[in-house]
Amino acid sequence: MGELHTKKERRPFMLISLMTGLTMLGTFKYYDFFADSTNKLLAAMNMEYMLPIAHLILPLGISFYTFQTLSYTFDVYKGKSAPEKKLGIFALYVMFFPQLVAGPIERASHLISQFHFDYKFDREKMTSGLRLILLGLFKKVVIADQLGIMVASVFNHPDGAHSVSIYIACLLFAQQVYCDFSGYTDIARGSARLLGIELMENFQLPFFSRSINVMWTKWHISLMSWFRDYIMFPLIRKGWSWPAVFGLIFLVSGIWHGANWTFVVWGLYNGIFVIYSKSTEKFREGIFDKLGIHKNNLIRQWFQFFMVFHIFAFGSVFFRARTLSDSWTFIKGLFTDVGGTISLIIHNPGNVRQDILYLGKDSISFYLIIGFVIMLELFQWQLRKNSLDKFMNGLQIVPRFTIYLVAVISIILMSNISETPFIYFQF
Amino acid sequence: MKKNNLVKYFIFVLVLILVDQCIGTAISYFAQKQIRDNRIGLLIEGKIKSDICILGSSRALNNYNPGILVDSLKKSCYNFGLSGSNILYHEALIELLIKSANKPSVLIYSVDDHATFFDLQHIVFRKDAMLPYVYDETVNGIICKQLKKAEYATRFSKTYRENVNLINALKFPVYGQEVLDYKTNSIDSLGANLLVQRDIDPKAEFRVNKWRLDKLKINVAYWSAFRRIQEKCKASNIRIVFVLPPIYNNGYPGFKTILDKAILNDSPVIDYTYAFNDADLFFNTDHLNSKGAALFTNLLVKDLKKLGF
Repeated sequence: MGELHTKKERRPFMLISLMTGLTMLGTFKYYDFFADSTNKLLAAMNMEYMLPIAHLILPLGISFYTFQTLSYTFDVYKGKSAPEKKLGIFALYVMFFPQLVAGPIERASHLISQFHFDYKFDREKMTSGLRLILLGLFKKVVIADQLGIMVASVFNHPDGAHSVSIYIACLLFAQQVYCDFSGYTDIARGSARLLGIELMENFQLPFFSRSINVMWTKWHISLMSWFRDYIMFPLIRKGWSWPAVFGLIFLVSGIWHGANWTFVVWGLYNGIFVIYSKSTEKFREGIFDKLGIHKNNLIRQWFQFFMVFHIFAFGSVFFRARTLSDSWTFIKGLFTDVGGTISLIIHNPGNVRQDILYLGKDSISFYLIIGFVIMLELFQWQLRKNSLDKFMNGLQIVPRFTIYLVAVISIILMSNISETPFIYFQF
Repeated sequence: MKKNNLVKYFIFVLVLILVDQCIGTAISYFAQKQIRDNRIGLLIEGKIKSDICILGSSRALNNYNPGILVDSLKKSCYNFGLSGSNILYHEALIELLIKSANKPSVLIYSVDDHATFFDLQHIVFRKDAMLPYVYDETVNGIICKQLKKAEYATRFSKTYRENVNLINALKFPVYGQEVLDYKTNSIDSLGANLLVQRDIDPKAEFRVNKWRLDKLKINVAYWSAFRRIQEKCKASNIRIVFVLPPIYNNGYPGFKTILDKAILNDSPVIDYTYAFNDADLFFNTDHLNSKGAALFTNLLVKDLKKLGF
């Protein structure tokens, strides 16, 4: 493609590359889902035809590197990037180990150019990389893995879940998936930085967003910006309306996450809220202004953070539940006998409080984990205006090393359960 | 790397080691304070000197009166039975007994016919009973294997080794010591927990067991553990006797045949399953009360004497 001068000449090659990538992804990830759904549809219409289920093993990180290679193809097609002539460098771009399994989904223009540098040991980069790894491990081991057990105790038993348990599990799952995924990203970015490679940021404190559409610009940035650059902009240039484009992007985002109707609905759920949020932004902001609550007012800020977090968290009934039927059970359960459940928590007959409120943990364990979550959020609040490096370098040596010490000891202390795989490894 | 940076990192590592040791020690201290049943601790410290050891689940803990064995056989005796423990736990405990300073010469293994080879939800590897003693290398090895922890890392970091006890350690300053339960951890000086009269729990009425052993699937791990126990005891010169304690008006037809197939080295098996029919001797279906335990232990003494123990 690089030797051809016009887009028209390059287009067939781009299409071959696009079809190859999407066929691989479609076959491995979506074929069984398609076959199963088709069979169910045909059965519902009393048609006796069965597409075979292939039970293919999903190649590691296929969703991530397919999108990464597609971005390379598009950039070369558009003339934004020169084609890489060394196979080894291109292979490294596709399979660079820190981000192979769960991203960030890198662009060729950003990553490939870095593989052509000569490397020298850089103490600053090493320190910064180790810091990121430490933060990532803290998020994963101290918070995500601990919350995972509690969340599973509710989401693995849809029929027995109480309203309050579902509510808490939704909130905790949002925190779990954030710490799990952003923790992985921090470890990946830190590992790459140790080797002198800079990977893009994937999260920018998404829960400190004042609207859901802003949150989605800070969550899984590498994927959302991929959609923005390769789907949204081209479609808007073709005259699509922005709500249709957003709806499509979130639908595709849901399907990208997994071959299950739950992810499709999760994508649509978020799409609807983003469209609503974007279209009513002025109206909603106007209400605050009329009430005399200024934009920088802390109550207004935290109310908006609260709303964004809750909207995102309730989407987890689709993301975390195994089937749509389970999701529906959770939604119904969320509003069933709330008073009775609260009464059970207050009177605690047969120690039911442990199951309902503490999600299977004892109270000390529950509050300890919540304490760690608060500790992380307070730390992240400090990072909202500074990068991690700037913040840490701005500290005196004693507080700086105290933070390191607390993080290391917390990781050692909380690594008392068996290994839990990263959530996004399944995608 | 500059010299002052090296010094900085060295001091950090030093402080880290110090803090790690302090936290690990504190967790260990509080975790041990929190629990009631300290029999494993006494065993590790070499404070239990017994020629005869009794091992098994709650039916070992509640059914055998070690005092009678001491008086009748003129040998020291200690009960290591633990409620809800399975054969894998018993195997681990035998490992501790073999490595202890005062290894027993006789082991009375109380067989739980319905649980010895089969999976039952409430009969498990009671790692919680061993966790407070992870400071001991043997216990630590067992726990690391169970929890898939990196054993080599436990040698470097005391906090990592003790982190399994974190919550119990925190419980001690908040709630104090574990609550004494008359059924499970009201342990006497010889390790037993003899029960008084009848179970006060209304749910624990005398029932007819509905287990159909032929319908259950043998757990291969349990079967292998049973055979390993015998091999380990033989290798350590510990004579082992298998005892099936009484059950009220019940029994598990066919179990004895299964058990016989698992016995190696002609170890004796004494079956008291149908020995008692008087409800006054039972606490509930599977457990004797102190009166029943005394009668049963006396019967056992006679048979042990006949066998030359």
